[in-house]
Amino acid sequence: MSARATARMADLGLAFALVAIVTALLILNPAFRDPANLMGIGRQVAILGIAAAAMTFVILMGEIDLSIGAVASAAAVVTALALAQGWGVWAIPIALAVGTVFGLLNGALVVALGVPAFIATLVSFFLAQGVALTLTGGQTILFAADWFRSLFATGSFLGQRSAFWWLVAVFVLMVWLLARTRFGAQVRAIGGDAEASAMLGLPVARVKLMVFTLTGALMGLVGMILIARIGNARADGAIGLEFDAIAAAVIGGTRLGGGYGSIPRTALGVLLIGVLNNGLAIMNVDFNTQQVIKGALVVGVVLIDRWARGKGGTT
Amino acid sequence: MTTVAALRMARTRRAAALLRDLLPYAALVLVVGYFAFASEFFLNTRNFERLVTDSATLMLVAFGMTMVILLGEIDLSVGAVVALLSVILAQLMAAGVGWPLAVLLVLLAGMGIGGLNGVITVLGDIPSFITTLGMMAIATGLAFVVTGSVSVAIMQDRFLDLFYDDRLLGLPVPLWIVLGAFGACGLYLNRTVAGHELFALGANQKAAALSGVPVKRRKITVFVIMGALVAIAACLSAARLGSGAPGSVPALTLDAIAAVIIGGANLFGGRAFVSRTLMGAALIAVLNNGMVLLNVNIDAQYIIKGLIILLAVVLERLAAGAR
Amino acid sequence: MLELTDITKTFPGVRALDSARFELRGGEVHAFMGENGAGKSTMMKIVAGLFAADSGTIHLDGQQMRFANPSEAKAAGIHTVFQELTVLDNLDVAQNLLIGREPVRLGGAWLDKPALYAQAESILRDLGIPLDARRLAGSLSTGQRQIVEIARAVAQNPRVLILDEPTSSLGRNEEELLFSLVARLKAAGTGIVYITHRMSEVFAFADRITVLRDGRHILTDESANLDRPTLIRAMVGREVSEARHEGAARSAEIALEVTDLRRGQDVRGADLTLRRGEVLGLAGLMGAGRTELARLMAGIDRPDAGRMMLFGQSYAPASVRAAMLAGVAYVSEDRKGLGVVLPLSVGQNIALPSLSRLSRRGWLSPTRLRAFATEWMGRLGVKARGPDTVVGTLSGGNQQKVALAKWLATAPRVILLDEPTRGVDIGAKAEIYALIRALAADGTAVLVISSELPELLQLCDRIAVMARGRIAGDLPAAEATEETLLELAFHEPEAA
Repeated sequence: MSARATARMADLGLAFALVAIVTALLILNPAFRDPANLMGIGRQVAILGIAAAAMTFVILMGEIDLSIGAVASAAAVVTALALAQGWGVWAIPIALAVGTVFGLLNGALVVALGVPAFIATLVSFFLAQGVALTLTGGQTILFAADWFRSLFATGSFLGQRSAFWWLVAVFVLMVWLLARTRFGAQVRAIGGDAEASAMLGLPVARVKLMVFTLTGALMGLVGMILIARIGNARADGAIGLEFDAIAAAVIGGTRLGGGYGSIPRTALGVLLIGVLNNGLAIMNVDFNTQQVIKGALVVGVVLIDRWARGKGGTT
Repeated sequence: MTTVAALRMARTRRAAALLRDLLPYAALVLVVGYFAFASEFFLNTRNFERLVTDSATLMLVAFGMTMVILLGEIDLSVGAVVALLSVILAQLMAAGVGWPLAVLLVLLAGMGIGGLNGVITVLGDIPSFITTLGMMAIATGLAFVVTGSVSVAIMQDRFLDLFYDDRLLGLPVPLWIVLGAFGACGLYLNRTVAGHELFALGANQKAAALSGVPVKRRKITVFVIMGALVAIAACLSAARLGSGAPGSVPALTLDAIAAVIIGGANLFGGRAFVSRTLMGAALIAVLNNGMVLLNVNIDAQYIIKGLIILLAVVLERLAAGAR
Repeated sequence: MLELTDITKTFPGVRALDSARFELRGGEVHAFMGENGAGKSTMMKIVAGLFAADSGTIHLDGQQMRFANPSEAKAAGIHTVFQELTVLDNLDVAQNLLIGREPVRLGGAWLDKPALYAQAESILRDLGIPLDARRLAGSLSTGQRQIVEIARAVAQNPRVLILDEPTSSLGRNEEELLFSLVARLKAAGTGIVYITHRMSEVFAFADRITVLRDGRHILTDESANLDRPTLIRAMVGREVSEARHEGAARSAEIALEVTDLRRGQDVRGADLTLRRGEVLGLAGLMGAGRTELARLMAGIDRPDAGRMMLFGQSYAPASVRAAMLAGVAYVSEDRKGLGVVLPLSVGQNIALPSLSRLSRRGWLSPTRLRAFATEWMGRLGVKARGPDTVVGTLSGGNQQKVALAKWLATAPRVILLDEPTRGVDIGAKAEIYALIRALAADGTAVLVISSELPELLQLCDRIAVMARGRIAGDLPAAEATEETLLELAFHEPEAA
């Protein structure tokens, strides 16, 4: 079977799983059928969706970023403090800057020093958590800025919350970057074979640095949406996001090790996790069981993918 | 490359290697010196004992992590698995199972979980950070599911005494356990066929395979050993808290990895030492302890640890002659 | 048009190029020939901007050039198709063809996909390549991928095109396609450098031929003025002065016998007999399948078909360890990658395959290990401060002795040495030769794979030559010459 046919099969499988779960939920649970609930899913997946789109880029390039939850939390805390201090609009560039700095650190460690990405981003995890915890002192940061909350999460436009529209904007941006720019083509090529890409004269180091930095900046946005939704910030606000993002990307068929994956497919993965979370929650399956299911799902999907591709030539 | 540049690079590498090797010792001396100076409570036997019992869990996990990183792998699930196993332990005892049997069962469970990590990683040919990230989610979730999100108190005093309060030759039992594990890991790495082969395996898996090293079996074994150490760590943790708490301890995973990296391990495998990890873990334990004594913002420890790891990572890469 | 003068390039321990020169005219196909290691690839990598020369000049159309990286060489119109393919499996044919120069609009902000496929399709059509532009490269055969690689270069209208053994993985149809592409470029005035081991192609397609030997320029002439024997002589050309080894009385006992062994495209029905106490040489060109054959015998890879007998018993090692226990050892050609573990100490390396034997129920004694390592260091004359010295800090010759020591310490009955003196200085070479002879005298069966024919002639009792996955013939060393061996190595059996 050609790789493209395999990919199509995977798409079908994923879409089928999604339809099956949705149908089951529709039949089994009246609460799920409630239009308000269905609309709510869109809002709930905003944060996960943005993180998963960024993670798709990183994994597609053959790397990983374990720091995104901590970085988003740090950005959230800093922004909430800025808002509480009455800095107004300046909070927005500050949030983006916090994310960007950590992204740059990740990129620099990987590109300039050759640190494995899972270690480099673990270092950033530490530092970002440190910043968030130190600034909050374990407290919840409250702030009052209705314009901000409205802009990033609670405001309504065309019947959907603004958080949803941010998700749409990021998806459009990422689809465009990946499918319609030379940069996206380079990301894909580097993920396919970094050495061959270098021999072909592609700017491998620059592209990697840019992807990590872009991911960081998007975590600034995630941080803002996070606090806008709930109106306060905690140091561990987005911890665990890295896992859900990897889960969504991998379930969406992004191949660990790089080279294969797409944003629309990741969107399916996000939707699957979103519906799963929502449905399980409605059926009173608690958050923790959801974690177990997601954990098993990720490992299972990776195993099946590995198995489908046949044994790699390991001696 | 010109000869001058090559010489200069060699000099940088040597300097970085020296600093890398000195880092855990120098940092430890500095930190101990500072705390001794800043707090009158730091340098006394009682505090030392508390430091040891508090950090025993970290030490055990860090020893296991040393071997995992020696292979060029990682285990992100340890913090969550410690939580899960401590909960299982508490529940077994609450259900009337005697403590020796409960400990044994938990040990087996730990080895099983470690073995599962190893089998999926090695036979499935999947990066260990994904396998263990998945295991982390599963273990965290299970710990809460099993307990219904509440801590389970441990009522068997014999267990609490043995794993926390008791003394042997005047020293607390957890210290003996740590020393025992340290000795066992040291012996395994330096005095057994399997241990010797791990160094070759971590440095160059293909060359090791060509030398007849049974690569898969050795790798899975290391994950099993990691699981056993995690299980013992869970017993110590449960005894210290007097209960099994489902709240995962992500800080434990990070601290363990930090200890190994500060100990100068090569990030791609092939070079790691239990003795230096011990120093790295001691540094982190002292930091945790001293900052509480000084009443400084306990949260700043993340930044300080983060910066130390950053330094360690940079030195290690420079010493390895990265690009 | 392209002129390289006085190019010298030294790698640690080897002078790869020694004032070599090369000159290419527009619109010609220029075959670039030489034995393995003559410096052809190094020379072309300098032209392609992958290596920098230590000294010498490159002129393109009369202008002096210096390429710091492959992009600069490409910008100057020099394109190279290396043996290691740079076709990316995860991209489709069109993306591979136009990688790095995809059609864009709006100042690069919009990748013009329709134009991408239109351009790719027109390239494929123009070049007469029957491939679908939307097909994923990962689903193509090796030959088809090679064609994509070549088409990528051809589509950029190169001034100079360098082809490094382009036909090694091509089927017959693809070969014809390649030759038509070359003819077309030639007509357009492109200069083509053609590196190959296939004599028939050289005389069929090359206008001129340059031969390189030991990094030096030997001859350049019109191919019409040359014939096969002349070329082979030019490629060999050394004074055959070294003393031959006196063929010792051979034992009749067969140590290892290989019958019709096959694996993939590399080993295609090899037959070989190795006797006790003899040194058997295995000659052949790069890619003839020698290493692959040795790996089968050493239990590293499993054969698809065929039979092996070890001292009269059926032998089918399931692992390196199994081969080792049966008494077969293999010392890899890739010393730094597979032979030794560079970051570990001499002692750790030497003991590695013998650990189980040295242990008591899995426990090792450091004193015993040290003694063991020290003993073998002494036997092989490894020059290092002690068993704790890190192997990566040793010279090539001493690293090789460590690699040998580690396997000799397992007391093998059959030892397979793959390029045992590559990158080793002359002094250490002589020591290694003496060691190999001593091994054979003790009754060990030794197989030596080497690309240096004089080495084989000097060292071996018998020399077998491998060509395209088969043994093309074998000769007693006393009767062989470099010419006869090369003749066999260039042997081109009818395509099966």
